[in-house]
Amino acid sequence: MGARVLLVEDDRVLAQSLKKYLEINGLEVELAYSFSDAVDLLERKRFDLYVLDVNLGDGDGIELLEDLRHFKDDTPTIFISALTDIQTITRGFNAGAEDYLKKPFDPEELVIRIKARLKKQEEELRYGDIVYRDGRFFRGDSELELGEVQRNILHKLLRNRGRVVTKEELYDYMLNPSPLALRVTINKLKKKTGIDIKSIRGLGYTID
Amino acid sequence: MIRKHLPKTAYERESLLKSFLLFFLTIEVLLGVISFLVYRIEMTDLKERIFLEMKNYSYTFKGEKFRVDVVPAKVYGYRFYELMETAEGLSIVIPVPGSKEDALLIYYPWYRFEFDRNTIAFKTFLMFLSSSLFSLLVSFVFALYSINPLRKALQMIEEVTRDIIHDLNTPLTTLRVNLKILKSRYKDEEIERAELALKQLETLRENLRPLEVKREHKLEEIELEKLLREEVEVFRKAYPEKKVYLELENVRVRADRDAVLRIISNLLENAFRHSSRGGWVRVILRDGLMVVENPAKPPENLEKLFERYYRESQRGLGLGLAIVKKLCDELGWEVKLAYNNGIFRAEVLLKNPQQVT
Repeated sequence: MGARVLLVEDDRVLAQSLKKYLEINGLEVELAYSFSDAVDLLERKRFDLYVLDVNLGDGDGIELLEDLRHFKDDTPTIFISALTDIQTITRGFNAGAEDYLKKPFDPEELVIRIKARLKKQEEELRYGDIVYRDGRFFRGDSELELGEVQRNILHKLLRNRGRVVTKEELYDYMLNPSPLALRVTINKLKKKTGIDIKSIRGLGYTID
Repeated sequence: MIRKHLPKTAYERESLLKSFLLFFLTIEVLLGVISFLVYRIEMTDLKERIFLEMKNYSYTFKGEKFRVDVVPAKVYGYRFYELMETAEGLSIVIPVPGSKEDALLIYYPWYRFEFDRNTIAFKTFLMFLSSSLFSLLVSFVFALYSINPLRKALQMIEEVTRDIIHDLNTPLTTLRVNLKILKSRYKDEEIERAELALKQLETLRENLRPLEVKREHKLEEIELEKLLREEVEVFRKAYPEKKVYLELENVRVRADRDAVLRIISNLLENAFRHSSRGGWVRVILRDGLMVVENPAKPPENLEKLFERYYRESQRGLGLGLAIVKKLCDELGWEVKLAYNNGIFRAEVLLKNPQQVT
């Protein structure tokens, strides 16, 4: 199972073609054809990377990213767009995109850029001998047995190393969020991974 | 007012200059002919006047205007009371009572006549000059007016070209993606050829990039009410049989003038063109909302009206509303279409409108 990519593209033919191409290249792809489809999907699932079109039938991919960043979603994002004017590209990067690919592009280039992004993320998420790869955590070659909620919380904490992640941000990942449930989850994580997750009283948690 | 009509590109400037010259030179030639004729008439008139005055003078010999000489009548062939051009000037010869040999020569000296002629020439020239100045102005306005439809057509073509180039991007990408997938499965020369053709298309697309440059929007304060009134006036003249109801409040927006003008003029054009026979058009501007209404046949497909090249009548390109939608999107305005009880309604929600009281 590869890294999970959300592809938002309103041209259905291109969307389906790209999904297939990315899957051939070992990525797991979910499709959304519109702004609202994307929002629906994002409420239910987590992704390792977003590939967004700028022109969506019912909205603007850049606005979608602005909203996501506003809600502290820092998933790496690559824009693919037929809009090639410098203003739009600037807007895209200002919204917090990592990359901007102008249509028409070579899909190979998209794959290379996605993999580079994921690789960089992998590097950033390395903690001691614990490695994050394709949505899962490994110690050496063996995968750590973590539930989805635990994986997401560890992912979030590692991504924000040195910064305090508030309880509210972590609640987003839980099915039945409560202070107690969060404390239990964190304790389990500490035991399974051996990572020192510090509790900052009243605020949240952090990894140094 | 004038500024929006001024040309923006080299070829617009050239056609403006040419039609200006055409208008101006034609009028100038006519003016030249007229001035020449006026000069001729004035000169005949002058001679006629002097002749009369000389005849009067011959009875009274009062005044300093003319000179008198005694001359042999034979030299002038006994032609009495006739206007002659002699060495002295404009002259008449009158008989001396009681003498057959001598006659009196009354003449208007040449230097005085020259002076009179120069005065007339100068006056005529002044007239020519002032009417030329006027024709200059008129020609310029005519020229602006005459290249206007051309400019509109050009703008439209540029816009369509840009859109078409832009619309190539997505299918080209789709083609490339699918060819790559095919290529990973099969090693056929057909795929190679298709790839080559795609490559050519992509090069073509790349060469078209300079055409794609979007005109930047300049933001300025616009008095929407004034603009609407001006535009409505234009259509009112083209469709005199349609009634127009205006309910406009003084609203100001910050936007690109050309874009706003295109939106308004496209919406009005639709309303005037498609309102039923003997119909009316109502324009409302209130509470940050601009509405254009007209009675019309029910549209077959309201949702598709914004689509490019979609049209429900034989006339037009099906671009008007598509352009309205695009420009509104660019300005951050929201545009909606509705049809209720026989009335078609286009509604534009403005961004940051300022009500002026």
